[in-house]
Amino acid sequence: MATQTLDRPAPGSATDEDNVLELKNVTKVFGGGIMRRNLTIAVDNVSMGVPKANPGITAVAGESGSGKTTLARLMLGIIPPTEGSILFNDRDVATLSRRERTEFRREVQPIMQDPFEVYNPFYKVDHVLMAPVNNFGLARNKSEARDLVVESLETVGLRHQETLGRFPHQLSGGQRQRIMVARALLLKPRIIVADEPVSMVDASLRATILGSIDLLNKELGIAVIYITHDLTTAFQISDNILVMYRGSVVETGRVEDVIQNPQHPYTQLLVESIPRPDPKERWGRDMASQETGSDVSDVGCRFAPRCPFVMSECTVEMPPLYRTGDTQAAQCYLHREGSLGDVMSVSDVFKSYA
Amino acid sequence: MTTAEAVPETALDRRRTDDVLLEVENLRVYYDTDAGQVKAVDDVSFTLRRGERMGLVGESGSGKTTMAMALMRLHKPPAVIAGGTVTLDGVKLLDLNDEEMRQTRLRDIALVPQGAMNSLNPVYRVRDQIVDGIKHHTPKGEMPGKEVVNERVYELLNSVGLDGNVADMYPHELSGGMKQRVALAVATSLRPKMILADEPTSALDVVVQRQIMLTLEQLQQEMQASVLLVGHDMGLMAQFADVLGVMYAGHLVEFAPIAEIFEDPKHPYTKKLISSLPDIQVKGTFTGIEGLPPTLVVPPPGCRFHPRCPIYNDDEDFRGEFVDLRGSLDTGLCTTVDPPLKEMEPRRWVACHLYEGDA
Ligand SMILES: Nc1ncnc2c1ncn2[C@@H]1O[C@H](COP(=O)(O)OP(=O)(O)OP(=O)(O)O)[C@@H](O)[C@H]1O
Ligand code: SF4
Ligand SMILES: [Mg+2]
Repeated sequence: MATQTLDRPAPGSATDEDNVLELKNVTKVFGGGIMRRNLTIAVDNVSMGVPKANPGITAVAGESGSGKTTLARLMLGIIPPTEGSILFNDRDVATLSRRERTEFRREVQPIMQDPFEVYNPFYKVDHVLMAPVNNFGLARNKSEARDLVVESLETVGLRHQETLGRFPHQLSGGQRQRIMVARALLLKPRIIVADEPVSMVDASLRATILGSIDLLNKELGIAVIYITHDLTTAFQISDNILVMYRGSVVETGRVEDVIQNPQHPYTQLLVESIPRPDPKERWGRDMASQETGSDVSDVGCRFAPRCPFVMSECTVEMPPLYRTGDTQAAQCYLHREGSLGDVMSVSDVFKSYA
Repeated sequence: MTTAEAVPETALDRRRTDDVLLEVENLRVYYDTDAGQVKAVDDVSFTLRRGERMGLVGESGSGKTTMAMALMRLHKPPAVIAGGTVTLDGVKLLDLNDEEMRQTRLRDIALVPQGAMNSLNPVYRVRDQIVDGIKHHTPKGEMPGKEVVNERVYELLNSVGLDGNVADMYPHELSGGMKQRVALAVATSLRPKMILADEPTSALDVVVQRQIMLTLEQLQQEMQASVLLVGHDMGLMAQFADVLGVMYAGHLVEFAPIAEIFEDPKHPYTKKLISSLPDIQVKGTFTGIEGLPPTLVVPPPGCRFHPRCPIYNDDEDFRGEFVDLRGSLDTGLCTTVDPPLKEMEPRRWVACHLYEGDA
């Protein structure tokens, strides 16, 4: 097929030099020991790249436990993959020299999800913000450092008088989240991995924070990986999207296409369940596809137990990511017929319209 | 009957007059900090009817969680209740002693906390989490036998859409949505009259969110309980709530039936909130409310919203809509007098000088 001869590296081939960060067939398995049933495949064979030029904003959407946060931690080098590799400027993150590692740490910045856990409760908020300024030598002197910190706090709608000098538990959930955003803004890295940066703020503030993340991308060319369960903001802010379900990428492509014309049954269910901000249009009462506690499958498509269209092959082997159109791919046997080929790395789909 | 007083009541009238379940009056909850008193909840009043579902929204840090925790008297120091009353079905909660309050929790008023999914104890099986809750809030000697309790555990799990076998599982074996269902089962185990839920679904995908909210709705209707749902998602509020309260900087600034909030928001903050809602039809630009949320230690004088208020500041985008109103607004009041929450129509409360003459 013509589309298969596109500039796509064969599976397992040499790295893509246009990427600053690249995940190659990355799998992460947790647990284990003697009992096999305690294994969790948190991320299952995901390949994607973050290009050096015009990186755009890529949303990773999925429910809690779908592997989004694990994917973020892998990208940040916080945990190593069980299988596959992660490359930063074509070098395997696992074997970076000390100098390269410092660079990696600075260039790939997190905005982590759980504001309740990321902070050491004994450090004041100041430490969270001053430490990167000092560690990476962002300021020439104390007063310049303080100005930087104050400015970054204001960008995310926080007042330094009420933030600095406080302990994390003295702030509301949304305030803690914003400190993490301010921290990332300070460092102006190559890549920001933002894990649910606005799940706990109101609509207006959400707009403000996403607006500033958007600006970082458009003005400074910082790549943003926006991890969220909120499809509306994903649609509003991103260029590309990956929809994850139990560790797998079930659908990917241009965000407008995936959300307005979803091809995977799970994405369809997701889009249909978005709570519309209109009290006259209340959502259906239908409780189909509910998890009951006896629907765990580890062979075949992970969504099969909840899928309204399940077929016999679905429970035998995991389907590949079929390219369903120029800008979209879905991991579902419903698209085997008429597929434009299998997709090896999700960024190949992004490239076709970048 | 012929006397005037005996005009037959309609069901609606009865609800309107008698059926108040929760009454909050002039509630104040302050945090004592080195920098001064943080007035996180400042003079908040509202009433909630039996069986009614109320949503509570507002900017991050506006005092929603503080208020919810104070209603349960689960606020932690340095938070103190500095004034006001909370009446639940005729009982003044703030007057109860600690032991009485403990008995009231879960039996009469139960909480599904912010991040409830992580509130389950990782080393206990689901069964034990539920049984523990029941035990802890049941007076000594009134605890039913083991069989009855086990039966109740299965019944509860089924009521939240889980199989009985989940009782023997540990939290880590459950998905986020299933954990949240367990948290719902715990909260409803003693059939409370009032359920408080603080962002119960903020980490879940929308499919699971819808299922959890429909489950909560089912339980609530079946028990005729009232619900206070704290959150940020106006979409979720539109889907779930009967009435909505909007908080800004420690004040309740608007309270109204949900349809009216969307159709005709009165308070300028609510207006901004509604007009900045994103959707999945058109990509727009992100416009939040200009400026920083105010400090709660020394709030702005007059109306706390005035430094950011589009009407007071004569914001162009709002000129068309408010031109008449602004003409009659005494902007001097905005900077000097804190507008009280006033009832404009039955069940429509607003705190803004724009409506001074209308109340
Ligand atoms: N322990 C504390 N000590 C001092 N101030 C506190 C403490 N906890 C909360 N606050 C302050 O009280 C105010 C209200 O906080 P609260 O958690 O009630 O807000 P919220 O409306 O629930 O916010 P969010 O939407 O972000 O969860 C905030 O300004 C916060 O900084
Ligand atoms: S009282 Fe004045 S400043 Fe406050 S919301 Fe109303 S118009 Fe705006
Ligand atoms: Mg809160």
